[in-house]
This record gives sequence, C-alpha cells and structure tokens, in this order.
Amino acid sequence: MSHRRTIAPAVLAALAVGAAAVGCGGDSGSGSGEPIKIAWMGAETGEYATKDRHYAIDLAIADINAKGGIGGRKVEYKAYDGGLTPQQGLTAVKKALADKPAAIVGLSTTAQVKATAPLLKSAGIPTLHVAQSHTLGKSTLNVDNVFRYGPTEAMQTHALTDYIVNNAKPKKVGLLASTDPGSEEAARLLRAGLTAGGVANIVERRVPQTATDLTEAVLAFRGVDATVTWSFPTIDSLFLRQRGQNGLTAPTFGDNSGGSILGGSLNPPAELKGYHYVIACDPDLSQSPEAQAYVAGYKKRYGPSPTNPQLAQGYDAFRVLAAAIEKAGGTDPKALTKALGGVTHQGVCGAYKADGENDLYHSDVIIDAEGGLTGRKLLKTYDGLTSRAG
Amino acid sequence: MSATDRAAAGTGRSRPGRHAPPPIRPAIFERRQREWVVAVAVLGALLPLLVQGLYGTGIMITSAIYGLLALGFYFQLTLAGQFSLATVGFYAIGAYTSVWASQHGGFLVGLVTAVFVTGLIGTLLKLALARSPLIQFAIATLAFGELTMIVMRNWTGFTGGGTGRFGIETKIFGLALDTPREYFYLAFGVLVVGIGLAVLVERSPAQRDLVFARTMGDVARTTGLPTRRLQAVAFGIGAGYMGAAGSLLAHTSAFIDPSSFHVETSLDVLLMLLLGGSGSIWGPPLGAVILTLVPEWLRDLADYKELVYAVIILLVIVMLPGGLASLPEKVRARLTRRPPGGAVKR
Amino acid sequence: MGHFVGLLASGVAQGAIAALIALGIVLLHQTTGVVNFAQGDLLTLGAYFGVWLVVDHGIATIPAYLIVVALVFGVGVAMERIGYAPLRRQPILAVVISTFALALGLRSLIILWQGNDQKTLPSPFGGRVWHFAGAAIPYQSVLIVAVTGVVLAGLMLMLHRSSIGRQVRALAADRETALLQGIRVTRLSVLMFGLSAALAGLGGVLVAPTLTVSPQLGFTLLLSSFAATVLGGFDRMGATVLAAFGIAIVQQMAAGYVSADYVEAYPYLILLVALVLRPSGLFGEVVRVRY
Repeated sequence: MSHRRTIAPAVLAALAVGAAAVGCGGDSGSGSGEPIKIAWMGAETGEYATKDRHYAIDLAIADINAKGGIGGRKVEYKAYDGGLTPQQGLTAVKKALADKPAAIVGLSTTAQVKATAPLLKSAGIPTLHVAQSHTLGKSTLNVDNVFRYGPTEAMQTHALTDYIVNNAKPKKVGLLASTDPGSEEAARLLRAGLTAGGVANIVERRVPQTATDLTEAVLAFRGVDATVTWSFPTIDSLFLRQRGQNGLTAPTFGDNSGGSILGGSLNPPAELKGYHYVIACDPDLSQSPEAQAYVAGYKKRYGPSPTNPQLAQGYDAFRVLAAAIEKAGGTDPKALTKALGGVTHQGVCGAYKADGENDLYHSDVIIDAEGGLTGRKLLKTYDGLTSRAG
Repeated sequence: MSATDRAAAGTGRSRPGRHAPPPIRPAIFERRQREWVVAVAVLGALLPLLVQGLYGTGIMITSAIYGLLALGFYFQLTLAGQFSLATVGFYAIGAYTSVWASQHGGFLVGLVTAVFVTGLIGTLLKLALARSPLIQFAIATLAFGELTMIVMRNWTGFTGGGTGRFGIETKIFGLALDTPREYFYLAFGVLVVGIGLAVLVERSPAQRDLVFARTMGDVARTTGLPTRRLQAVAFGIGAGYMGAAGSLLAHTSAFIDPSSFHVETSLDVLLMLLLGGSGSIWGPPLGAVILTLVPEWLRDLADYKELVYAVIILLVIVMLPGGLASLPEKVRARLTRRPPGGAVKR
Repeated sequence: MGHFVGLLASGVAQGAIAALIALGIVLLHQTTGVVNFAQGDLLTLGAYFGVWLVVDHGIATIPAYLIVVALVFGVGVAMERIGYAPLRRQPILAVVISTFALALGLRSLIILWQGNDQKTLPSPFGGRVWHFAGAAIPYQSVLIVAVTGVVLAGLMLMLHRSSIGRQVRALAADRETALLQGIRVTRLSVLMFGLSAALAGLGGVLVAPTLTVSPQLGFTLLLSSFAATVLGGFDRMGATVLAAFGIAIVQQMAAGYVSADYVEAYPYLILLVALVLRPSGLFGEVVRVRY
C-alpha cells in the first residue's frame, strides 16, 4: 500500500528536478579569449529545413575564422529550432538567451518576430531577422536592436510589378495567391502596384497552400496577358504544370519560390517557358567580386552544382554582424546595436546599410527561369528599395 | 473489451445486446484526491524557487497551458466518451475570445468569456453530432478544427487576421501582470483551479453516470439517464478547459496569430493524455508536463529529435497502455502478484 | 463546354486519388476495425520510393511502380507487427492512437532519409495531355482513374470470389462468430495491413507526378479520403468510391460556378453538414434502436 504514496511524489520530484535542469542555462563570461557565440534561429525542422540549410552560414563562420576571427576571437554559432508556431519560436529565443549569445540571427517568420519582439527589446541582444512583412519596421515594432537582413514583401512586389508593367505591359492579369497571411499581404500589394501601373483588369484567385489542383484558377485565367503567382514552391510548381497542360501561354511572374523550383528541378524545362521570378539575390549570376568569391568558396566546399540562392543572405548576415562587432570593438549589446545601425558592408548580395526602419538590405533581382537551373538569366537588378515600397 | 465492444467503440457497427463489463476504476490516486490537489498546488507554488530564468519559467507556463488542454481532452474522451480532434479549434476560439473580451474588463472577464463561449460551442457541436459513431465523430471534429481556423483567418475584425493580435495586456482588477513569474503563477493558478473542479466532478454522481453512459450507452438510456445531454455537457466542459488554455496562451505570450494554432496541437494533446494515462485526472497534467519537457531535452539531437520522440511515444503506448499514471498500479500488481485491475481499460 | 469538362475531369482525377487511399482505409477497417492514420505517410513513402527508384536509380516505370507497391506492402506488415499485434487486447482507440505514433515515426524516418527538400517524380507520359471536348486532361490523370477502377474491381473480386474474401466478409459481418469458426485473424490482419499500405503506396507513386513530393504530401491528401470513407459509411467499397468522386466533383463545380473564394472550406463544410444530417455517413447503414 505504501508504494502508491511514495511513487507519485517521487515522480513529481523527478519532474521538478528535470525542470530545474532545463532552467539552468550555460553560463560563461565573455573574456577576450572566449569565442563569440551567435545564436542561429533557423527552421531546423519542418518544410524549410532543407539538407543544405547550414551550408552558407558554415561557410561564413569558416571565412571569418580563417582571417583570425574578430579581434582575435573565434566566432561560433549554435542552431536553435524555432519550431512551427510563434510560441515555439519564443521558447527557442528564451533558450538561446539563456546561453548568452552576442547576437541572434535568422528568425524567418513574421509571426515569430512579432512574438519575440518584446522579449528581444528587454534583453537588448542585437538580432538580425529575415522575415518579410513591412510591419516589422522599427517605426511599428518599436524595438531598436532588431534588424532585417532580407527584402520586405513590399520591396519584392514593387520590383516585380515594376518589371511586369514596364516589360510585359499587360492589360489583363491573372493573380494567384495562397491564403496564408504573407501571401495575402503580398497579393494586396501586387494588386495595388499593377493597378497603379495601368492594369485595368485583374482576375484574382486564392487557394489554400495545401491545394492539390488549380484547374479552376488556370481556366479562369484564360485570355490574360500575364499571370502573377505568390505562394509556396509546391503551389507555384503546380501552377506552372497545369498552366502548360491547359495551354496557357501568357508569361508568368512569381515569388522567390522560383529559387526552389529551379534548385529542385520541380518542373521540366518545357513548363518553365515564360516563367520569371523575383528573388533577393542570385550569387551565381552576379558579377561582383564578393559574389564570385562566395560562389568559388561554396563550390570548393560543397561540390560543383549551383549554389542555393535562398542561402546567400545567411552568409551576408554573419559578415555584416562581424563587421559591426569589429566596428563596435566588442560584443557589448548597446555598442553592437549602435554599430549595426551605422555599419556599411558590401556583401555577396549587394550593399547592406540600415535605414530608418532598421532594414539593412534594399535590393532584388528579376530572373528569367526559362533556361532552367543552369541556363537562367538575370534580367534586372533593383537597388535602393525601401521597406514600404519602391 | 470484448470484440463486439471494440467494434462498438469504432465505427458503430455493434448490435445491441452484448456488452463488456464496466471497467474498474484505477485505484491509484483514488483516495485523498483533495489532499493531492493541495500537494500539487504547494509543490507548484514552490517551483519558481527551483527554476529560474526566462526559459525555465517559459517551459513551466507552457506545461500549465498544455495541462489544461489535456484535462479538457480528458473530459471529452474519458467522461464524454468522444475521441475529438477539435482541440486546436477550441484553443483558438478561447484565445481570440479572451483577447477580445479582456479589452472590456481585464483578464478575468476575458478568461470567463472564453470558457463560456468555447463551452457553449463544444456542447452544441456534441449535440449536433450526438449520433455519430466514434471515428466519424473524430473526423467531423477534425473538419470543425480546420473550419474554425479558416474562419479565424478571414474574420479580420475579430482576430486581426494575418496581422494577429499583439501587445495583449493582462490586467487583474486593474493590476497589470508582466513578469514571467507572475505569468507562471497565473497559468499555474488556473490549472490548479481546473484540477480542483475536475476532482469535484470525479467525486460526484455525474462521473458514475458518465462512465455508465459511455460503456453501456443503450442500457444507461433505458434507466432513464439523459445520456446525450450529460455527454454533451461533459464535452462542453472539456471545450471550456481548452478555451481557458487558449486564453492563457494569448495573455502569457502577449501575441497570437493564426500560425499560433496548428493542427498538430490536437495530436500533441492526444499523445499527452495517452502518455500520462487517460484513466485518472492526474494522467493528463502529468503527460502534458512530460511531453513539454521531452522535446526540450531532445533539442541537441537535432535531426534525430522527431524520430526519438515518436519512438518514445510508441513505446509507452505499446508497453504501458494505461499511461504513466498506471505505472504505480502495475508495479504494485507485480509486487503483490495480483493481476492489475481495470487500470488499463478505462 | 471546355470549362465544364475541364473542371469535371480534374474533379474525377482528384476523386480517383482520394478513392484509392480510401479503399485502403476501408479494407483495413473491415478486417481489423482499425482506422489507420498513418495511411497518408504511407502514401508519402510510396512517392519517395518512386523518386528513389525512378530518378536516383533510373529504373523503368512499370517495374519501379511494382517494386514500390511491394516495398510499401512490407512496411505495412512491419507496422502491423509493431503497432497492432502487441495491442490486440487493448481498446480500439489504443490502436488508432498507435497509428498516430507510427505516422510520426514514419514521417521522421522519411525526413532523415530524404530530407525536407522538395522533389519531383516525372510522369511516364511527360506532360502530355488528352484533348477532349475542349478540355486538356493529363494522361497521368487518366492513368490514375484507370488504376483506381482496376483496383476496385480486383478488390471486389477478391472479397466476393476468394476464400480470403469470405473470411474478411465473415469478420465484418459478425466478428465473434467468425472467430469461433476458426478464422485466423492474425494472418488476415497481417495481409490486410500490407494490402492497405500497398494501396496507399500505389496512390503515392501515381499522384507524385501531378504534385511536388515533400514529407507533407500524404497529409494533404488524407483528409479528403477520410471524408469519402466517412460519407461512404465506412464499410462499403462502392459507396466509398462514389463518395470520393462526389466530394471532389462538387468541390470543383462549387469553385467554378458558385464562388472560388471559399474553396478551402467546402470539403469541411460538406463533411460536417453531412454527418450532422446522417451520423453514419450518406451510405452507412443506420442502426436505429428504439426503447
């Protein structure tokens, strides 16, 4: 009889001890010989956790350390899984903060940045994120130490609509977007941009991101001069396939899913005819010395196939951070935040310099995908974009 | 359970007239339930002395929220006899309702409104689907959960749509809570009240009626028991617990948007109940705490994390069908060479 | 006309996929009473086996498809041994939940093996389409519909013309009497777990060329199959197939002619309303007991 009264409290006690083990984070000083620790908040599980997800940042760390680190201190990073929901992202950031990193890099969803902003503000640790909503600017978020190292969806939609209006000059456009918040927001901006550019007739369709058939939308787009898609690689790829099958030959302009579609050869060359997409950068096609050095280093390390353009900004983020730490003369959060606000860095993807909204990056490129992964062409580079629009 | 009862529990092909004997209640924690509530409350109140820091406190808050979700699931599964996949729906409704209502009178108004609204919706859902067999009901609730999320995404005025709601304030009688420790005591307090209420239900005649209705539905009805109404109310109470969990989620993380609610939440809660044990009210919170901690412990396994997680769950389900709460009972049975009671069969 | 036929054709193709998965669910449920929530991940596995054989190893289409079916059959048998056999004396719910855990495990194994990167499986027909009454119908969709027809006919023959079929029907009709008559449930349940998994794998390798292969592939398709299974009354293969086609066609037509704004809500609404009105599904036998 006595067992049942002793076992249950024992379980409770064990849980309490376990919880305590979780509660005690690593604690180390930041003497001058200590390595500089950076927390990487990537998608470590789930749809975006591709096998090459650490390639570019591993390369960045190797390049920084090969030059003797920053001020004689080596740099190292640790990956924390941000999970699916903003609340899981919050837990991951708390876990990272317990390890006392010099900076946090890589939060990639708008919801996670919003959920963690108050915490990041009170912790004061400089953070570089790559989420896309323009509502994450300094003026709306009210956090000084949070910076963005990728383009906003407003920059991308501005570049894309500008290119469409000035090159395809369509009268009637079919617009396909999925129902997730980011795509909804982008669809609103695309519609505004197209209307401002003189497109009178826009046929719009929304599909869930789990859709397995787009026939209805493709049929509704018959007779348009151009189609625009803003969604995920699965949906964009499905659209390209069904577009081809139904003989819809109008050119298609899409979001940065194009990088994944070409990278994974999700569609055969015939289906890529007339397909263009906007993406933050494409180092393989860039002529800048920084990009060429990056591509050479990447290929030396990971083999001859083209680099994944979605990763290049992760490389730049670490280099920008390194430049800022150098400028600040250390990793003091306040000094580092200030340095990030003032630093200029010429990276793989272009120039990085913070504006009033704490946006570091202001460029986009339009790619012609017709030649597939090896034959794709850079059509136009947009520079000097600002977070709200052009 | 006999073979016929298995079919009856499944998709409703049973023929009336054959029934399994009613399951025996597990003896563990049976007595001294009230003392246990006090013990848990005291232990929990002391936890912040042991666990400090944002991260540890955050994990404890998450455990408390999942504990409420799992308790709600206990009401729906063990008492109302329904296997539901609508958890995420009630969770979301509770969260958004609470944010909306708390603007008009503070956290407590938000919490109570959330519980009431989710409870009502849960009761109505159960009444509407009262005649559906187990699996059909489960799949209908899966559809309900998805529909709820579609509505929440599109009803911008109420939910903020894709922008979500942030800067959610937590005020109790005009006092604003904002430290992690205060949030922990809030979440833990609601959980203890929830456990306390569950104990009251466990000790009431309603519990016996519900078990009777679940295991011998047809017979129970012949005795004049309003089984359908009883089960609908139990299901609604379960939904209310989930609404309270949603309210706490919104207020302790100060931010919610549609991506806060993922269909996997429904599965996680189910696994928590299974792991802890669905036979006693202590199983669900126990499972919730463990399944919140396990992924944290597994963080360093990186790519192997999900596989190890799945294997752990499978092992518990296969080796310990009564959940961890049945472990002491099993150990005792092994020691006294007595076959375990009905602990596994509830 | 082309518009209508186009929508109808894509509805039929979507319905055929749902029907193929649903047939596996019904088959397993008839014999064991289990609803397998890992069916979606078995489908994903089939698609990945297809990519592995066809793209990575250059094996020809027909042998590759056959190997996929055999491999997924094997996985189904393994699932029976791991997640069902040890739980035979437990309530049915324990088994259903162990299939959830099996699904989790299967998905994480797939990710460990193939990663999260999206892949593609080329169709044996390339992108070619059949022009019919103004609509363009991909040959892959025609193949899917044809295979579903053949599978349905084969299952019907097996159930009504073979000894195994008699045993399955006996179990479905009166489980206890069938057990007393000495039907070897163990062997049957192994076979049926394998067969129903094989159907999911076949569905996966057939649907993969029309979509993108990712670890989430199966889950997306699972829900409409469940809807079909539920509306079909859970134990009737013909009715289930009919329900699968019905749901898919109604969804397409509603999107095309009513409103495309709430496409994602339609299947859930249909399911919920149908179950409120007909608790055991549209075609399910309603056991009414009065006291």
